[in-house]
Amino acid sequence: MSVLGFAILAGLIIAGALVVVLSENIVHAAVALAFTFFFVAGLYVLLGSPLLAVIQFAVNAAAIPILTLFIIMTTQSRRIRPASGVFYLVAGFLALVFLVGLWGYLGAPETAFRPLGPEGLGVRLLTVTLLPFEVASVLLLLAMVGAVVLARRREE
Amino acid sequence: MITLTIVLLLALGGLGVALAAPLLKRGSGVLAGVTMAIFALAMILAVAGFNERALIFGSLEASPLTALAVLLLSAAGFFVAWGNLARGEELWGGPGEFFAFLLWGALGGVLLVGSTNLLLFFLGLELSAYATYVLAAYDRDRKESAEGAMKYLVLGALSSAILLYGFALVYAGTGSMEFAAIRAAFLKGAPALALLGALLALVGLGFKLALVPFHAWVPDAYQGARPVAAAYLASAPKIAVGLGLAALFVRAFGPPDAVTQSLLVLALFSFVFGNLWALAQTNLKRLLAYSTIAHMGYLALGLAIGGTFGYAAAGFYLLAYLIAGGAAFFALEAAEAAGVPSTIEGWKGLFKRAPGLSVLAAIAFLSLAGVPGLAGFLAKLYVFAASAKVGLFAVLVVAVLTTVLGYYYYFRVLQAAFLEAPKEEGRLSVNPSLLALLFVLAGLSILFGVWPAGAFSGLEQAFRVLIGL
Amino acid sequence: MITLGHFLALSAVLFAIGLFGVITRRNLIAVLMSVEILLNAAAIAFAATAAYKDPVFFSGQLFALFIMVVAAAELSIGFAILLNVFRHTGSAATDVVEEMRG
Repeated sequence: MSVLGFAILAGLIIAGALVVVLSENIVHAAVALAFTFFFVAGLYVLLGSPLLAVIQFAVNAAAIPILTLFIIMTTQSRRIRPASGVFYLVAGFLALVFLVGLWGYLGAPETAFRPLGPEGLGVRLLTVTLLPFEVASVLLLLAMVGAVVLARRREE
Repeated sequence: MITLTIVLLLALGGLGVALAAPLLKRGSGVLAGVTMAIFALAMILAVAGFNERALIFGSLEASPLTALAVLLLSAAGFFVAWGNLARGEELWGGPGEFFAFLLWGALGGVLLVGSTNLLLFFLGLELSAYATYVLAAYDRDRKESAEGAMKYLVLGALSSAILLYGFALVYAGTGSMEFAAIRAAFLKGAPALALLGALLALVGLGFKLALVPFHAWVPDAYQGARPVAAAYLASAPKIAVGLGLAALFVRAFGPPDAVTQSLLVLALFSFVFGNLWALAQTNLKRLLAYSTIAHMGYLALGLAIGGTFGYAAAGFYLLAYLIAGGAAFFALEAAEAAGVPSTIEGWKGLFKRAPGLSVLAAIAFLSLAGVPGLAGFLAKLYVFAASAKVGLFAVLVVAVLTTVLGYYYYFRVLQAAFLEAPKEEGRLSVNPSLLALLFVLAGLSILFGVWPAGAFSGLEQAFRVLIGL
Repeated sequence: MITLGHFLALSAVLFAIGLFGVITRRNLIAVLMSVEILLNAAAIAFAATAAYKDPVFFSGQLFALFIMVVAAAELSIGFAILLNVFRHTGSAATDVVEEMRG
């Protein structure tokens, strides 16, 4: 795997994520979210898992940002008022503590990885994780019914 | 096979109710009845298959603990459906989908407790959490309901993400998603990365259990929701996560001291601060919310001590809390339906206006406080005994002192209801169905208060099998 | 050579950024977007670990798939509740939720 490819993707992902959490224009944030997730899909290609990359692209990089933009339009949100400085200090401190605390333990030395084709992923999805697969369908159904019940207008 | 039948019953029952709801515009009572029947059937099946041992599809374990989760969660769902029976249509303006979320939420809890890998654990947790988000927001004509549910959802999603990251680190540290393999890795000397992951997972579960300092969402969510929905928020997720935490500790994390000791600290914070904050509340829903935080502290103390006795004590605490806490919320619902606001001011002189409701509510509050003769007292006693057994005397002293603190605010409510003069005259007409429900719950509080042996031995059996003694 | 450690470090940085966003953002939509970043950080860690350390079952890559399901479901319920908040208050800023007190 090319070091250069990973470095570029990682840089783009981090830059995109920073725009998502820092931009004062919420539409910019939503578009940056789409790009961030698109580059994460690139990461999955590097890992040799094309099916995961395609689904990441279709769901996270396309569907979710579009849904987000719809809600932004519906609620007429434009600018995000910046939080007070205290919040930035606390959040920055927490994020830093998290990173510093974890950093020393992240150096997993494994260098060889195995790619996984679409067939392998699909077969494992319906054998290793058959029950979770069924549960996920209930989860989606619950979310769908819940969203409909909560969002529909009361009939007079 | 019985456990699989229960899982299918809950999943398909929810589907059936969700499909039937739009067709039955005026028939929420029918759906409530059907839901109660499904939960009752699940309970009967769970008792019949209590000792069943099997591995279903390689990821769900049928064991006495799973049967126990079915029993407790179905009981919670049964009572909440009953609480809605009376005024279902009036309350919710028709949409009977409410009951589907009760069924699916219970299903999530059962999967969470019975799971043998990180994936099913996480999905079960999400399933039960989403059901509660929807139920918290269900009263959508009230502003507070939407706001409380939003806060609940944002903090719930954050806690799920933290838990998920913890799981990712556990996976990265051990290279497996199966509890058995993770446990083997932990027993060999936990990899540092996996240990950090376990701590992050504990933070996520602490949010769900409403342990201090991860409790900020609780008062708003309970205050915003209808009391009947709040009764579900306060019981079902706590049962699922409480039992799930025990299962996760035993099946996956072995006994890493760092994790149980962190849980002990969270428990200590919760019963100290939960009780202190509850003292200052005048809104009864917020008072119950802070008291829930304190109760979860005692529960977590039992879980942190562990062992058959510690877990069984925690399980009994869940049972007693489920009955008394649920009854307290149903009493608020009954009073609100009769036009009494859920504040201490509003409850003044309630005894003169609704004696039956007041007495039954008093039994619930006394059980929550931990008065001898009721289940809540024995629950605290078991947890205290467990901490004495392992020599945690300093914690024990603090726990007993904060219990005394708890007496004060529960008695303040009772004093207002029984001793003070009402501001308005006239008898209140209390809904008979809710009164019957409160009567049953009060009876259960007394039953488990004088005869805990049956329930406790069942709990001990479940956890003995879990630990593998 | 890229090691598993590189992927884990990237996912940790992403998680820290998302955490920062959840705390500092003052708009509910933006908070939910930050939560999406958190979930993706975990998904990266899972997918990478699966390729490096779990070459038989690849369960982490399956987990990453389920995380996408969960993220979509969470967002749909979140936005439904958000619409209700908006209907009552006319705003999606976090302060409308924060000022709730008893």
